[in-house]
Amino acid sequence: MRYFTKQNRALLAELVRTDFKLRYQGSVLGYAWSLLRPLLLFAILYVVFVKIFPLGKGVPHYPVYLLLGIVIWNFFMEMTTRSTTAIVERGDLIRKIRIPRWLIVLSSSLSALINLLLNLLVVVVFLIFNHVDLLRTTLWLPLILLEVYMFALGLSHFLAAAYVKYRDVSYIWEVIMQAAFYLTPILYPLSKVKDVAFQKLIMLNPMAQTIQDARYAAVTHSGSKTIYQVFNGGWYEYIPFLIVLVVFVFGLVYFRKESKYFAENI
Amino acid sequence: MDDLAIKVEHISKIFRLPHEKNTSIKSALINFTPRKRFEMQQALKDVSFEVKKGEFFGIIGRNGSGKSTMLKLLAGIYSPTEGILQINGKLTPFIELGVGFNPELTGRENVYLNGALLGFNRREMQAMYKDIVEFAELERFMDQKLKNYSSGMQVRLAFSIAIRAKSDILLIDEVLAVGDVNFQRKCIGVFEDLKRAGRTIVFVSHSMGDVREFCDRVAVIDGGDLLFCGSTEEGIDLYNKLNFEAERQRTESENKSPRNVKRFGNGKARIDSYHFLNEEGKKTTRLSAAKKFSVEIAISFHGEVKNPAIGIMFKKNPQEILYGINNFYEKFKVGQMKKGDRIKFRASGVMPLASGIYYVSLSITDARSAANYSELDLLDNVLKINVEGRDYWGTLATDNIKLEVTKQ
Repeated sequence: MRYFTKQNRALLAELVRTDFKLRYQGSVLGYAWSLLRPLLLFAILYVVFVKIFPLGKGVPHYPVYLLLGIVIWNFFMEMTTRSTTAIVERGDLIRKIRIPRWLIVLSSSLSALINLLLNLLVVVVFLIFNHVDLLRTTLWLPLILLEVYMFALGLSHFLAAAYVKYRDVSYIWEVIMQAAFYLTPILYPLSKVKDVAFQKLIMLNPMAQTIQDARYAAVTHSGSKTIYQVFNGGWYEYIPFLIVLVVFVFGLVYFRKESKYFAENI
Repeated sequence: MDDLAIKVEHISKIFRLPHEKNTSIKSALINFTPRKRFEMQQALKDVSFEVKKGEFFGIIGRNGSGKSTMLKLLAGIYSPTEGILQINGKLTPFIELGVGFNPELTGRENVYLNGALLGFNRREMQAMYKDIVEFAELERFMDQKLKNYSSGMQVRLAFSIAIRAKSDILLIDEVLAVGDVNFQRKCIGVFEDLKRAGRTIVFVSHSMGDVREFCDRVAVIDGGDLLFCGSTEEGIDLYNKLNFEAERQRTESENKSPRNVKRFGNGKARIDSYHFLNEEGKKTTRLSAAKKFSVEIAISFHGEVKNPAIGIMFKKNPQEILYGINNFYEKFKVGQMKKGDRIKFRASGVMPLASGIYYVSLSITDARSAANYSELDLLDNVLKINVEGRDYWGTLATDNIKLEVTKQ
């Protein structure tokens, strides 16, 4: 079976394009919002967490460090929440035309990915403004982002398929994301968590691991504790990767199994 | 398999319809006990047929018969519960026109999106864009949002894109019923071209005229069963019979529980009871064409009536009278009536109407002349009768209605 045939590629491109066209439709600034949103978000974070509550004292380049974490987290959140409803929202297509169902989830994930790249542009601008030295480890960033993408893709497939059957999936996921936001060292540096056992537990979450890795790779070696440093070696440090792999495979398998009945269950 | 386009072998499709749709996890948990929470609905039962290459194949059946399910199975939208489906060649993936049209996008953007759904990339679409727009006759509207299109315009655009699909087998679900006459003629032209080009077409329609015109063979599906697969004429005959039988059953149950019958008149006379009798003298609303029948009406008078004229009107629809019996025109005198008189009026003869369903209205008037009469009691569309038998078309010329009246 061939997945990326000419037809599928054409359809994928058209779906992503439509998604972008519709997203900012009716707004005066249009596509500019893709860049304006992260900029404004950063302005708020800067005022709150650098000027009012200086959580990141001692972390070099804390503002950019904070922004990178937020950008990665937002990508993860946007992709999973939008994918959850993707299949049901395209119910008219599913019920009346034979197209590969996975294309729909993939197209919504690509929209999120494009947004991530735009947001990373903003991050680059701030890296320069903050006079952050270019680290050689930045080359690792694409791989780290690939891990986030795979994790999100597996979850997206699972959520999209489950949502067809159970509409509460979207509410549950919203709550989980809210809790996970605070359990992931995004606003606060990991070093603020005093209990080392707690630090270890937090770092098992793939999102914590990737965000910390990304900061380590692109912003600062000294301020971002990675999973290697927390565990000091040992096989535990591979748990997040294992979780990503399991979620990815399970999500795709579950989706494949359920997708046969999407047309009649929606 | 070489000369076959589609081979359907023992296909069954069962839908699991939840009694109370478990779309929340709470209800899924509460109902976790393995009680039966689903109703199984068998949409298709053991259906087998073959479609040859280059054939124009019709699928006909009444609403809810399973023909759309069949089409969705062929298109690959549903997967069969049991059975094997073999498709030899490339198949159009859609069963309806304009799938995926987005009202917020312009006509142009929708053309590209729809083209992508059919498997064309942007470059290919650019090459055929002009033809599509020309065929749809929408040159001036392409930069408007689709939501500002009329439904006819949308269908025209959708149809022009759909016919570009480069597939060996086309699935078409009732498309001819849309658009104005001019566009319909264009569509028919396209179908004729497709037929000539030797493409295989599976066509689902309720319009027997279209089916008769295009289809080489038809399958008749009813209640999920394949009743017939063969020549178009025989298939259409069977379909008409199914429809007729269903309508007959409906009218019988309607007559049992009378609807709100419009009744008017000045009340000087009243129709108390009425019934039809068939050739055997049995009370019924099922009559045979060109066979003997009679109507009996009991009337009571509540005032003086000089020239009672009793009418029985047969109508094809609630508005139009097709045929009527009236003693006034037959120059049959019922006689002057006074308060308290009761009569039984009887008209009998040969049923002049061809097979079909007819409304019946009953009336009694006081008629001094054809133009000068007063309505005493009128029951509009009070009954529906079924006339059976297909011995002739239209109505029989008849002057053999016999009228009788008995005073009681």
